[in-house]
Amino acid sequence: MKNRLRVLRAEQNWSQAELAMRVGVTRQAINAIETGRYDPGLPLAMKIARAFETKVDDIFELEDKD
Amino acid sequence: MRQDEKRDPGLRLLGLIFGAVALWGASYVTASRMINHSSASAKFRAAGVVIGVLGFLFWQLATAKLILLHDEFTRRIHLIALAIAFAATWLFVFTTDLLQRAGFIHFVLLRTIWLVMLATWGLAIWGGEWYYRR
Repeated sequence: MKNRLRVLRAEQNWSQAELAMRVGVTRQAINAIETGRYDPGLPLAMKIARAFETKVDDIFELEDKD
Repeated sequence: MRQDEKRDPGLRLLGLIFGAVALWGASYVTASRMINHSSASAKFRAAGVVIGVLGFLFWQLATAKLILLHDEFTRRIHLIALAIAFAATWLFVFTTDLLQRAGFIHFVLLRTIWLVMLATWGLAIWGGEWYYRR
């Protein structure tokens, strides 16, 4: 799954730690999502979307291999 | 507000974990002394077994509580680590069973099996964190 987390975070000028605090996870979790090693569950994906005031679809995108 | 409610939940959790580890260690040492007492009665040795099991159970419950309090990402790492520890222990038991039946080894202590499980669990947590966080 692809995601635009790093881009959106940069637009807001948030650090990984700041985003992690906003959605209630560890900084390592945000890093793992950004590097594509970890796909978040639906509740976390929705919390991330809410933090950026957007929809889950605008952040996460399915790839052909998924 | 009571004093204990003001404390950092993380600190309370850390206290719970350290307490559980200390209790496990103390109960294990106590149980070992009681069951190794050759002149002790069966009831005394049975009490040693119960003390050892209860100490270990408390540690397991405290560890489970700690894992469940983490975010989904950390829980995933622990889930993978537990699966790896289970698979590694299964492989160890299977292999030693074959080695024993083939006459290459005499026997394996049950203590060795749970130590293998504990070691692989720790290694798997470390490996999982390394994989996701590098």
